[in-house]
Amino acid sequence: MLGSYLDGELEASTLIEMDEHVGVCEACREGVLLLRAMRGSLKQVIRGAAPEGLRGRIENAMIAERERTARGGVEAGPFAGAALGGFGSWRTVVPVATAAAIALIWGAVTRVAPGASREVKAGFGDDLLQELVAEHSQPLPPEATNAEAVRGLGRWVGVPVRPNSFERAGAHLVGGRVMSLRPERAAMMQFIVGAGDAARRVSIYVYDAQKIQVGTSNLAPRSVGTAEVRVGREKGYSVAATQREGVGYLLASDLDQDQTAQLAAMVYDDR
Amino acid sequence: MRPLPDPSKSDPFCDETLSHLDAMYAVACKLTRNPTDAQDLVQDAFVKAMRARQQFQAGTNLKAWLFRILTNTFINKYRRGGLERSVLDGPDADPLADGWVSASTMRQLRDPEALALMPIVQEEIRRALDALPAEFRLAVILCDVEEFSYEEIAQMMGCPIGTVMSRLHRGRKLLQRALYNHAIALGVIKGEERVGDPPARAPHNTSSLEEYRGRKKRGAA
Repeated sequence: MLGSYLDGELEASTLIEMDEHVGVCEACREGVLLLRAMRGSLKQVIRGAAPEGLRGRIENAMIAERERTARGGVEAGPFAGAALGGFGSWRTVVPVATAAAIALIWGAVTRVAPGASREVKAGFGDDLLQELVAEHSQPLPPEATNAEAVRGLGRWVGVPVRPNSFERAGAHLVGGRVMSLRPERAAMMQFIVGAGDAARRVSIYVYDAQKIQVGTSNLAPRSVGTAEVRVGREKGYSVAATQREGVGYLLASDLDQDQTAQLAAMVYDDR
Repeated sequence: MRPLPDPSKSDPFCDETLSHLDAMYAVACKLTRNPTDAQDLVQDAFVKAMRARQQFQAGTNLKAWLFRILTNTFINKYRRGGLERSVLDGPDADPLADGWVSASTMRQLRDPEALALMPIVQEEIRRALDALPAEFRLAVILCDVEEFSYEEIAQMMGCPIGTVMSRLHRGRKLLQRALYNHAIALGVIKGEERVGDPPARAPHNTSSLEEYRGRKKRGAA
C-alpha cells in the first residue's frame, strides 16, 4: 500500500485517506521516506551511459534491418506463391475448385499491410503451451461450424480470426470455439488436412499477443520464406508459433514439424 | 572505432529510438549483469524495434514500447523457462511482513549521515539488486528508476497488475532487508528483534490503515 502510494497508483479516495494517515503515523511516514530514499539510491546505482561505439553499431544494425525488411516486402508476392507450392501434396487432396470457391467467399477479408511483426512476446507460460496442446489432443466439439461463424469468434477474443489463409493452403475448416484462458480468451480453429486414413488434425489458436504469452522457449526459431516461426514438439504433437501485428498464432497438429511450420507461415500470406 | 553510418541512410526512427539508448543500456546491464550481454541485448531490442516499427502507434509512449521489447527479448533470450521457478524457491518463500523494523531504524537506514558510509551503502544496494530474482529486479527497475506506470510494467512483463505490485513489494522489501542487515553488520544501527520467522511485529505503535479507517468510522459515528 505504501508502495502504491509512493508510486502515485492509488485511487483518489484512498490517496486522500493515505495522506491523512501518513500525516499521523510515524511508522508509515518513515516507510515512505525510506522508499523514496531507496529509489534515489537505485537511480544512482543504475545511472550510466552506453559505451562509446555502441550507438553506431546499433544504428548500423537497425539500418541493415530496415533494408532487409524493405526487400522482404518486395519479395512477399513471389514468396507467397512458393510457400503454397510447398503444400503440393495437400492440394491434391482438396480439389482446386473447392479452394477457389473458398477463396471467393473469403475474398472480402480485410487486407493487412505487409510488415514485420515477429516474436517480441512470450517467455512466460510454458504451462499454457501444454494446456493448448492438451486441448488439441482431446478437443471439445466446435461451437462454430462454418467459416462465417468462426470469423465471428473474433469479437470474443478481441483479435481477427481468419481461417482463410490456412484454407488456401489446403486445410479444411471443421469449426472453431472460444477458449477461456484465465482472464483472457483465445479462439481455437480446427482443421483437417488430407482425407481418409491420411487425414490429420490441426488446431490453430488465435489470441491477442499483448495479453497472452504462450511459452515458446522450447521451440526452435525457423524462417519460412520471410516469415519467422518457432517450431517444436510437445507431447508427441508438432507445435508452431508465430505472431503478426500483435496477433499470436499457435498451431498444434498431427502433421510433421515441417508441414506445421509451413502452415504457420501462411499467417503472412496476404492474398 | 565507431563505424560511421551512411548519412543518406539516416532515419528519424533510428534517431528517436536511439535517444533512449543510455536508459536501455543501463537497465540491460542490471538485467544481464554483464556488459557484453547487455550490449547484445540492447542491440537485439533495437533491431526488433526497427523490424516492428509499423506496429508502433505514433503518439503513444515510444520509451514504454522500447522497454517492452527489451523486456521481452531479455525474457526470451536470457531467462527462458527459468523465470517462474526462481520465484518459487527464491527468497520469495520467506515471509516478508510489513512493519518488521521500527520507524527510528527506518530513519537511520535512509539517513546517509547516520550511516556515514554512503559509497559502501551504494555498493550494498547494487549487490542486493543483483541478488534479486530477475522478475523482482525488473519490476523495481522499471518502476523506481524508469518510472513506468504499473499498467505499462504489466504489459512489458506480460503479467497482471497485481503481480507487478507483489513483485515490486517483495523486491523493495528484500532490498530494504539487505540494507538493514548490512547496516547491522557494520554496527551502524542496532538490531531489533529478529526479522522474519515468526514475522516480527515491530515495537512501534503501528496503526494500520484498516485500524485507522475503523477508528475514523467510530469517531464519525
